[in-house]
Amino acid sequence: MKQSDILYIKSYLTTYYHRSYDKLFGMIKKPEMREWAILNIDGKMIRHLHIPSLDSFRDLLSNYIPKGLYHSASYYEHPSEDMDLKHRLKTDVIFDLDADHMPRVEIKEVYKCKNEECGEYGDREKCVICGDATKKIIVVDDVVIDSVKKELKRLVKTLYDILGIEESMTKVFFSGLRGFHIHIEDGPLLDMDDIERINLKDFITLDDVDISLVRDENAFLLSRLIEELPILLKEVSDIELKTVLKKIDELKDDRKKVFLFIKDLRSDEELLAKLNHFITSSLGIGVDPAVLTDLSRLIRAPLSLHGRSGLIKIPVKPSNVDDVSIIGEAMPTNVKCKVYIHYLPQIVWGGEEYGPFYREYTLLPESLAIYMVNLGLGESLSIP
Amino acid sequence: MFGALDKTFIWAVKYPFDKKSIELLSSLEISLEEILSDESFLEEARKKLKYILKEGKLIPTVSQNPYRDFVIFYIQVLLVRALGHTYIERRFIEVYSKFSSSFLSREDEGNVEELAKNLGLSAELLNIDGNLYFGVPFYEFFKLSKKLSDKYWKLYYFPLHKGYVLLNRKNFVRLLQEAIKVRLFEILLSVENVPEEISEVAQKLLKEVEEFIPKTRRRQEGDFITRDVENYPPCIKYLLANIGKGLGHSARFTLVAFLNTMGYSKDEIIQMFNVTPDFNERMTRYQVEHILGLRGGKTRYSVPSCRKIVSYGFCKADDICKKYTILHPLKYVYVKKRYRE
Repeated sequence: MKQSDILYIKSYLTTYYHRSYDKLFGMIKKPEMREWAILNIDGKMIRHLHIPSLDSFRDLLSNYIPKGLYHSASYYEHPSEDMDLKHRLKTDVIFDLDADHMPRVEIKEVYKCKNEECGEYGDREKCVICGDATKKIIVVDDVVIDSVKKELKRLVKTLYDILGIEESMTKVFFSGLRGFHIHIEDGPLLDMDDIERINLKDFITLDDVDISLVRDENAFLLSRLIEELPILLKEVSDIELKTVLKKIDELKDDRKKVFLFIKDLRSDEELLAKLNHFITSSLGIGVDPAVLTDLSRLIRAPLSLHGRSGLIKIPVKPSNVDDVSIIGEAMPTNVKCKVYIHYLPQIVWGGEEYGPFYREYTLLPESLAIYMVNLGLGESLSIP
Repeated sequence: MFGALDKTFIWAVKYPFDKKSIELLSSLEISLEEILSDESFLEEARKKLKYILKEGKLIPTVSQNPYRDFVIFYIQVLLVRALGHTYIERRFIEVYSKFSSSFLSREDEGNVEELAKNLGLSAELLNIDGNLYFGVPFYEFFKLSKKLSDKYWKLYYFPLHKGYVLLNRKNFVRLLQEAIKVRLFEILLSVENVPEEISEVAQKLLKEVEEFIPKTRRRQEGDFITRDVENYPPCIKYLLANIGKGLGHSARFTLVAFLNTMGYSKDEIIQMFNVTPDFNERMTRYQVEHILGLRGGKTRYSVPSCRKIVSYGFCKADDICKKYTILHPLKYVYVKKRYRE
């Protein structure tokens, strides 16, 4: 990255944190009991920081310019010690919905030729100029986030309606780039150990299902399958699976019959395995397993900036996510800046369309311009 | 017919760990010394414990003298504590949790619910569409079911209602059995002092039951250690194949702990990572030393279980994993070595 771009980004980050540090610190529950970490502008992670007060937080921000600011999901007795001396007390339950983990979400991909002499950009896996291999670059925009919103609504429905978690116990955030975070910071769930969290993860993602093992005709898995049948019947392409789903559809008014029909599928192991795989991929919700189950996990701090996108991790209301461009809401400024773009297909950022661009200077929202520079798709940031 | 006091003692015999039973024990106007002055109590407790350790079961009945049965249970607790042997503690807990569960299977629903609440569960008796269920909050279900090995103990196989897992009596009692085990263990731990005469009987008992304590052959270190990658589980082979692409935190952690267990030195492991485009020897050394317990709190991390590896997302289970129900990567090495030999 050019030195001038590094300076531009440093100034962007410093200005934001100077204005927002007190609001940010106020968002964090029990900040003094968490481990904090900073991803420095040069990419170095500084961990095991203890921030007991707003003053110490301000001092920290005067010493570092955070490209990423994180706190632990866990509350510790000794947050600044090494992991094995921290003494964990409780851990927030955090769901990370990330476009990368969702088979149903289509992400935009750009390719850059690995041959340095060529370095051509494009939308093919093989360089169209020299034929060499390329490096894949994932680009997120409003369209990608809109797809993740659908998953967010499914997850929220599962948490509130099925698991009975009260909405007031959850905080929902746009993650700052590729999706959403749901934090549960109170209640008995915080006492769950890692194995219990793996079980919760399996329930959300529907990993490891075997529909023939359901214990009751009203079992969650069976109910979910029957509820989603109209969609599944549209999605399914495999003829054998379609036949099974149609049969379930015919029997659905008599749960007992569905239950027995599914038990009978045990006689055809191959078909059962296919059905189980289809259920996981179609009905499971793709949360990041590591974020949910790792008790020593660090998570981006609410209201901090995502180092790559320059967007804020803002709180959102799941009930009205469809009404707004989340990216638009998460931009810290309305400033547009000049940037040289190597290549970018058309994207939607903050409700506005940009591109396509090919080797040209253009004016972009500051966050998008920074994102392009961080992805290696742009350079030479400047105020017009 | 039993009188009201007898009924209280019958409850206490069936569920000696219950809050009501412990209150009854404290209310007995007789000291332990007085009880032990009748040698037959200690003798009967010894015989009963010996039977439990030998047979691994207890017939779920209540004698004509429930007071005596109840007191004898608590003398057994003192004996088990005096023995201080993990296998004996486990066997005792296992047998008594099954003993109580047998009664619970026939108990009135209200009593089952009450007992569950006394065990600290937020269980509710729920009538859903005319079906009577025992409802347990899902997080308590996770806590109690996590040690049950049957595959069907997964949340999605059960009906759910506003965060409650709906269980029939059989499944609910099975979960309660796990809660009973926890409570029995707490009772054992709560014993601080054991009277001398009980300790003496315990030592004699230990000699009598030695033959019933399984002598498991401890697997030798060499059973697990090998540098032959062919013996490594598929998850580790996958990580080794992908070192060059850069591994995430959990993956690095797993690989370092595994390789160290296989006998690779710290420096050998560090050099294995010297294929990544952004290899930083100082940082790698710091991380490896941390995992090996050479830094910080000096805790040497062990190889994570298969369950954790699945959650990390790099489980690549092969036929051996499935056939031998491998639950830990080191078990795979042990099995594969024997398989190939």
